Amino acid sequence: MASSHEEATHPTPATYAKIAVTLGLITAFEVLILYVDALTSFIIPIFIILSTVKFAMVAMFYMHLKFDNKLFTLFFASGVILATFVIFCLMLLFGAIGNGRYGSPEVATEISHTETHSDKAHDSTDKTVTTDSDYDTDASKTNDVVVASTSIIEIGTNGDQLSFDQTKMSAQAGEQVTVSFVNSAGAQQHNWVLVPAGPARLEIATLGMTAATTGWVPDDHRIIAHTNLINPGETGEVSFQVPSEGSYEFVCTFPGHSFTMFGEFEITQ
Amino acid sequence: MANITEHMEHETTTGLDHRKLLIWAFLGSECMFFGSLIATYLVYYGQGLPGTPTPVQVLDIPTTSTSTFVLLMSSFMMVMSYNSISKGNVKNFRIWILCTAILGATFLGFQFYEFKEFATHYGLTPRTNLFGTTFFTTTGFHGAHVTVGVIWLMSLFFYSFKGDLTKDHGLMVDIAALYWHFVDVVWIVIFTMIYLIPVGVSS
Repeated sequence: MASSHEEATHPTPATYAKIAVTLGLITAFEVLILYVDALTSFIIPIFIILSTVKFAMVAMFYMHLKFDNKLFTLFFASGVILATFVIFCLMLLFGAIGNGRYGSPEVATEISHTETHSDKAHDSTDKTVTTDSDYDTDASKTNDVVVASTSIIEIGTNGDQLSFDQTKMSAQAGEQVTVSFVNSAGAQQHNWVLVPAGPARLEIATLGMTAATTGWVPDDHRIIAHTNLINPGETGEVSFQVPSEGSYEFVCTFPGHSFTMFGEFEITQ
Repeated sequence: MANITEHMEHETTTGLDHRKLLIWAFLGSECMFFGSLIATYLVYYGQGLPGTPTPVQVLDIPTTSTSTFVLLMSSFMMVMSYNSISKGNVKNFRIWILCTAILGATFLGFQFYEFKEFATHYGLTPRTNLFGTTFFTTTGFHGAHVTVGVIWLMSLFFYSFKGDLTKDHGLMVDIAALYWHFVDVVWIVIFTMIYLIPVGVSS
């Protein structure tokens, strides 16, 4: 394809060199702004724009798409656009964006995770009225606590889909409730675990991956209440006192399920 | 092999050489391949077992920026080597393509050092946690592509000594160059998504 008429339209070595210098400078600039604290909140769009510029320069000039037949651009652009689309879809599907994970400074707290772990646990347990008895989920024991009312909240699964049939449950603050969990799946085991909202859900679910002997429920004091691991078609119950404040979520901690199997536990005053 | 472009004027429905369409179709599919690897890394981001190494702890930006720069410059060398062969300057072609391959090998050296450092210093292997698995799979597959590229470039370098590589054989170099530049643009994306953004938002 190196026919003479094509060469004429190709850039000169000087152009190639200018692009090389620009690419180098952009990379240096990226590393430089990495350490500018003031830019932290804008850093994601800045990096995406800069890398897109680098990508486009290489594709247009070094890969000479700018001067070649448009069909080549179509082939390549289709792949790039589809790949970008797939990345976005997967991230949305698995809740990796808009949920305090990728691209969120909260991730940074994980560095000192082992140090802050116990502090976090105390914070969340302080908010709850009862702690240890809840964690044991011994229904008879917690039911002995005299409270104004007891209500039963039912929740199930969407068949074999990895999701609960409700995305939101609500209960009165301080109320004694029994959650009745119907596992309507045909093949999957599930549980229902009440945890503080936010990063705790995934952290607890991740810890649960190694807790096979306790029905994938880790020994973590942030857990407010949990059912046992329920076999397909069976029902499990857990009774506990609803915390007086705070925001909570429920989740299935069976390995892999937590990505899609969770919901909001609203506390009404 | 010698006649690789002499008969390129054969009729095709598009009027384009099929080999060149093929490399672009291949590169389009490679976008999907790396897209899914990067997506997997992003989806599992921040879900490593507590107590195991995290991206922000282990990623070494100064070293990786250097290797990124090396790879970017290798792309420049590559385009210069293509420029030389299309002007019939085989001698310059050899110098540029050898430089490209050397820079590519340097990049691989950096990656080997990085992997070794992660494993020995931080105990991070593909088996440690989701970060390790997705990180090594994504960057490892990129490294494998660079390795293939280095072998490809060196083959062209040695082939040129047979005296069969002339101005008319630009397509052979062109196709190798397109692959090499693709490996470069993939790294631009990986460097941003896997290295810069996680460290940037957490610093």
